[in-house]
Formats: sequence, structure tokens, C-alpha cells
Amino acid sequence: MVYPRLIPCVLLKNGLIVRSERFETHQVIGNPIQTISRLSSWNVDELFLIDISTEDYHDLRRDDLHVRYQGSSALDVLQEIAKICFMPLSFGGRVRSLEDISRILKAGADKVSLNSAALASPDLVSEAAREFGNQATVVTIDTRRLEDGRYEVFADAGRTATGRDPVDWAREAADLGAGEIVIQAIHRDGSAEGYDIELVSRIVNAVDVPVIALGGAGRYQDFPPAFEAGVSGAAAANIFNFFELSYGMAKKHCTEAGIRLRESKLESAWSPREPKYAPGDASARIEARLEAARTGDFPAARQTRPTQTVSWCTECVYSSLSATPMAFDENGVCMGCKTAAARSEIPAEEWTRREALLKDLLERYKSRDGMRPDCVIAVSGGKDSWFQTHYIKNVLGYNPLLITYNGNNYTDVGWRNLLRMKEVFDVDHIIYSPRVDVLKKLNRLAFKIMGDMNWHAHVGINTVPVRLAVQLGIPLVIWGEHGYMDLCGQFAMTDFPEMSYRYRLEHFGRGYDWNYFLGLEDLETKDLIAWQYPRDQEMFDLDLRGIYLGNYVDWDANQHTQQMVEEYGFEVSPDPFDRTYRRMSNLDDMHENGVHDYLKYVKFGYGRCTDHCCKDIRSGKLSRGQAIELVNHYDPVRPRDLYRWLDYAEMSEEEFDRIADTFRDPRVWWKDADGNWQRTRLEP
Amino acid sequence: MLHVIDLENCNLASVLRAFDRIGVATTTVGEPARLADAKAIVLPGVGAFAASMGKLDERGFSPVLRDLVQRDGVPLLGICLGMQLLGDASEEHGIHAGLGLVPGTVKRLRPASRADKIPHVGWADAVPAKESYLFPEQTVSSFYFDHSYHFDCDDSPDIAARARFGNEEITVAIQRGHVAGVQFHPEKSQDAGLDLLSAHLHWLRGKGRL
Repeated sequence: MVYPRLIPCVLLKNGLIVRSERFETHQVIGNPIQTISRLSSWNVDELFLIDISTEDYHDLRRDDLHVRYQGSSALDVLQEIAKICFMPLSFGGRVRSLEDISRILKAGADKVSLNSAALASPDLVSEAAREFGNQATVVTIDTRRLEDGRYEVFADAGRTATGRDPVDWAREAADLGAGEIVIQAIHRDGSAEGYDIELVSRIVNAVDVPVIALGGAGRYQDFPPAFEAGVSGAAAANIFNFFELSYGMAKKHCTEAGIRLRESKLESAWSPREPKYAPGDASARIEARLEAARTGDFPAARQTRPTQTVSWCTECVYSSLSATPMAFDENGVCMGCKTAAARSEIPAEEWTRREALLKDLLERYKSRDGMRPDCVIAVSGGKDSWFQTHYIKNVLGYNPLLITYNGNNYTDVGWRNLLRMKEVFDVDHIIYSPRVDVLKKLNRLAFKIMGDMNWHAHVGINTVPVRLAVQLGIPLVIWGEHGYMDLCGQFAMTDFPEMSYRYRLEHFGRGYDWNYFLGLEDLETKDLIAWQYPRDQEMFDLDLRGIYLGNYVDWDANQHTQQMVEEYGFEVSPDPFDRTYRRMSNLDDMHENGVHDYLKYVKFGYGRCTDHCCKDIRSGKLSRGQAIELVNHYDPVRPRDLYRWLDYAEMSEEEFDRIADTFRDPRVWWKDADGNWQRTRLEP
Repeated sequence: MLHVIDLENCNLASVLRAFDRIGVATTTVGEPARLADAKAIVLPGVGAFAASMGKLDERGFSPVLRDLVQRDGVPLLGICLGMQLLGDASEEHGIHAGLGLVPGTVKRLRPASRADKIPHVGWADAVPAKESYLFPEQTVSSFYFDHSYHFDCDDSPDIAARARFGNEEITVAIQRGHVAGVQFHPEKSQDAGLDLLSAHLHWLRGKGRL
């Protein structure tokens, strides 16, 4: 009795994971190694990798602690992936010949998926089956449902109609020796509408070989119908990027629906969740950084012209060499603009529906007996925290507990706003303040290691509320907006992404978890409790969810701020910031808009003013022309809070500059004949 | 140090990666002379029985392995086809002699219905049949299988674990003294597989073999 399989599918494009929608739009999710490590520690049944690159190059974006691949093809990524996989591995994408198959199997795959090439020359299927065995030969059938309800097979990633019926082609492929058929519904890809069960059933009934369904799963309840239709495997890509513990939760859902699947544990002794860092790696990295700072010899300093051209979104002012995982469409419009546009078109009745979804969640997770708070709201004391608390407490009527990570960098006005929340909203509030000596060490170390002294804040803010929620037995944590969804359209509005360890580690932590710092400046495990995320099993047992309110509420930061000022007396900054025109953001951390953001400019040639301008262009508050003037004025400004930070971290200004320079991205910066730093900038 | 025999018939890299992950050094062996100082041997393999047995015979592995295992007591672990090669004979495409280290014959799987597909590919439960160093906990775990033939054991005490296929309980792990074999792929079976290899290593260490 072979168990039906639940198969995470990872879409790779130019070395990164993407989220796909109807084969047309691809949003960058992140680095495959971190995601696949996560899947390994969840003991998944199988992994299906599909490379949808059309050319061989890797663009891994900012210099985080990612696995760097040798080479630039999908095979290079596959080799790295195979090193951390102890499960069956299936690989598809641009497989054209027996030689390709042989190379892929040698690189570590167990099965190879044929698609367009098999349609063009069906003999390839029989030759592959003879040479490598049926079990290694998979045929994937990309199918579209036409207007008249007929199904048609498409080749070339959905671009070319073949006139073939998927059932006929599945039968033929199985007769030729395919050991497995993957039936993919293009019209359901990325839709979160569920599998096309009618299509899946037809294929299952037509062939004797195992059938895998792909395309459309967006909620856990989408899986059981596929298994009930008789598939040997249900595969899905996007959903495993949306939710925490998504794999275990999906299996739990199937089990509750009466589908018997293989038991897979959440935590693996062999593939631990926290990355394993090579001993001495951190010290060596710091040493190399300081050496480059001393000698002035690093990539950007060696060139007299940039290595790559920069382009900007044609609607906002977002750069193609961004710090965030951004993607652009064929017209040069960034996904941030596209998602914002999609968001603005959401009709009022859809927001009403979403509010009902939110209420359902709160009802499901609230305290039954009043012996604990209904939910946790992670608050910084800023405008969004005020709005979240207003909404959950005063609009919907629940009893939240506010939890704050205090990184010791509050502006005066930010601190006043934070302390007033408990009175203004009449709620309980926990402020967790890590030891200042540890904070100073982390500021210094993270600046040298990753050019970002605020690692402690980014990771702490995304750890403390979650950790305390688990310890207090509160299964719902509420956040404001999903940062990357808002800024760079990482997800679609139908995705409802939630907080996850992966997102925390990869985007907030830049690939560095707390254990990277062990031993540096004598830091020990006990010093780093605030940055230790709860265990998977603890979160699973509590059914912990972390939702972003921006998915449920029509979010308008400018309007919300206005409302908080008028209704509750929220204070915006009395003084302008040095590096942006907005006065309502980042009051909880004087360095976030200051020296931390200045470092973003040093690295990538743009800063928070660009982020703010993009958001304000999308919401119609700014024209692109105005934005260009603003970013050219604000992005290069050297901020005054630098001097507070230098005192705090005990570093000289000269040392700071020398180290900061080593982080300059060679794709953006070069040195002119006089030795001055130059960058390509956006001209009016 | 584990000596892993390379018959160029499988993705040896994944087997080596699994041993690396559980923290044991390996050396791959292409000819029998390199087995002289072996303290423990692993024989992985996929594909056809006759072809791989032919290679063992041609390269002179067969007598060396029999001597090392039977005379010198060197522990041997066979994986997938490697387990089948431990038997007396196989009925795959004719009758072929095996290494004869564990009494038994390799036979084709017998499906009982359309649902029993050959090859038998996927995750299935292995139920330990006795206390052995492969299954010290004696718990039922799922492993990843990929085979069309199975090992039919002559001496039931040699059976370490069974799995259901069709109407039969087929043998999927054997252990006779210091000779053991598994039909499934521990290197592709996530924690369950790595735990099994780790249990085997633990036993080897206890025997002073690592």
C-alpha cells in the first residue's frame, strides 16, 4: 500500500523562487535554499522543482547569507538543492534530450519531467524510459480549459496551443513508458480556486500510471478533493510560500478529511530549522570585511563604470537593482504598482467579505473563558499599531494584548505614542526590552557583518511577539501590512500570506538567525533569548497564526494616520526627518529612517524616500516628476542620528565610512577618475 | 570510515550525502583490492540484478566480499538492489546466482489488483519483524521504495521488516548476524531513513567497527 503524496512544487526562475499566476506573472518569493531547507525539516514526501527560466543567469539580489551557486544554470541550483534533500526529487524545465536527462539525474534528481520536448518528439519518452527507467520518466501536461469548456494541451510554458486533448496525450505518454503523469491546469495556476477536479478525474480514469495534480491549490481544503479523485500525488507551489507550517497543516487537514497520508514530523533531527553555520564563518567574515575596509580593495572600488544598467519602474520610481525581491512586467511596470492597482480595484463588497473572514478568524481563536487575551497585536507604537489596536478593540470589540520589542532607539515622540497606547485604547501592554549591552553588541556586529545595524530590530520585532504569544497560549498574532506585499507586490491579493519563519529569516534576518552571533563579542545562548523563535511543534500544537491586517482591511496609511491624529491624539514627528518627507513613519527607531536607511543608499543607491514616494505615487498623492525630485534630494542625505549611533556603538566616523563603503553594490556604484563615488540616478 | 562499493549503477552521490549528513566518513571503492582494510562495507545499487552481479564477478568483488564477510566478520549493509545481491539467486530475466550471504531468492512482485502497480514506487510502511540493529525502536515507519522484485527469505529469523504488497507481506529488510539489507532507499526516506542508517552506525560503533 503506497501512500498518496503531498508534493511541494518549487518554481525557479533565474536562481530564485517565484510565485506564478496563470503562467503570466511571476513574483519573486526568495532564495530556494532557505525554502527547501524548511521543506526538508518538515520531512516532506517529495519535492518537485520546475525551472521556468528562459535564459541562464542568476540574480540573487542583495548580498544576504544565501547559498551562492557556482555557475548560472538551473543544474547548478539543483546540485545545491540535492545536498540538503533526503527525499525523492523530481525536476522539470527545458528538458530537451537524453543528455539533459542524464545530467539532471547526475545532479541529484530521481525523476525528470518532460513537457514540450515530449510533445514535439514523443520518442523521447520511450527512449528515456528505456535508458533511465519508467520510474524516472515523468510527463507533465499543461492544459487550459477553453471558452467552450473543452480542454487543450499547451506547449512552451502555455504559449503554444497544440490542438491535442489531454486525455489522449496522457494515454499516449503512459503507453510510451512515462511512469507518472503530472496534470497541470494553467487556468487555475496561482488562482487559489482549487484544482480542476473534472480534468484531474478524466486523466486518473484514463491511465494506469500514477497521476499528480498541479495548479490551483490555495487553501488547505483544496487538497482532499484531489485525493478523492484518485490522484497519487497532489502538488502545489504557491500555498507552501503563504503560510507557516503549511505542509504539516495541509497534511493535518487531509487526515481530518479522512485521507490517509504518510505521517511526516515537523522537526527533523537531521535537518534542523536554524541554519547550521560553519564554525568560524562569522569571525572570518568580519575579519575579511575589516580587511577590505582597511585596504579599500572591494568590488565597487575596483571599477570605473557600473557593471549593470539600472532601470526604473515606468510608473513609480522603484529601481531594478533593489534591496527587495522585485519583479517587472513586459512593459517595465513593477509588481508593487501592479499589486497596488489590483488592490485599488477591489470593490467594497469584497472588503466586506474580507472583514467577515477576519471576524471568523477572531471568533475561532478568541478566548472562550476570558482566561487569556483574544489575540496579540505586535505594536511599535507607530501609526499602524494605533490603527490595528483601534480596529481590533474599538471597531470589532475584541480584547487584544499589545506586545512591543523595544530596541532602545525610540524617538521621544515615538516613545510617548507607545506609552500612551494602553490608556488611549484601554488595553494591556507588554514592552520587552532586551539588555542594552547585548543590543550594543548586536548593533556593532550586524553592521560589520551585513551592513545593517538594525538586524536586532528587524528580527526582534518579528520574534518577541510570536515567542510570547506561544508562551502565553494565545494562538493569533496580528500584524499590520505585509511589508513586501505592499512595497513590491510579492504576493497577490488572493494569497492572504501569513507570518512565517522563512520570511523572518530570509527577509528580516537576511539569512542570519540568532545562532550566527554565538561566540562573537562573547555572546551566549542566554543573551539571545529575544531573538529565538518558538519551536515548530509548539506553534503547530497551538495552531498559531500570524495574520496581516492589510489583507482584510482597505489599508490607507495616510488616511489612517489622519484618523489616529484626529480621533486619539496620535503625534506625528514635530521635526522633519533628514532622509524622507514623511513624518509619520518609523518613530519607534530613530536609526530606521536615519543611519540604517543611509546604509541602504550606500549599498543600492536609493533609500526610504524612494519607498515612500513609490507608495504615494501608487495611492495618487504624488506625480512621478515630484517623486524624482524628492528622491534625488533625500536619498543621498547623510543623517544626523549617525552621531548618536557612533557614540552608542563606540565607533569612529572614519571607521564607519570605511566599513560602509565595502558594502557598495558594484552593479550600482563606481569610482570616477578623482576617486569619488558615482551612481546612475533617475533624471527628471 | 565506511567503504561504499561503487558499481556505477546508481546515484551513489545521494547515498554518500546521507552518510555525510549523519556524520560518518565514507570512501568509495571501485575494485576489491581497496577493501583490504575495510571495517564495514555498504553495497548500494539500482537496476537489473544480472548486470550488477556480473560486475561484482568480473571485477573480482564476489569472492573478496564472501571472504571478508564470512571469514573475517566484516559487517555488510546492502541497499535496494544491494540487498537483493546478498541472496542465493534471482529470478529477474532468467535465474542468476547471487552472493549467497543470506539464504533466499529474489522474486518478482505479485500484484493482486490494478491498484498494485509495478514497479512498486513510493512511500510504504515497513513493520519490524524482530529486534534488530536496523530497527532498535521497533516502530513502524514509512520508507521510500522503488523496485519490481523482492527478497524471499528462506529463514524467517533473518527477516527484519515486512511491508504489504498486493495480498502478501513481502520482506523489505533482512538481518543475519552482521549482514543486513534494506529494499527501500534510506537515503531518500527523510528522517526515517537517516535514523535507520544512524542506528546501523551506532551498532557498528558498539562493535568497534567505526
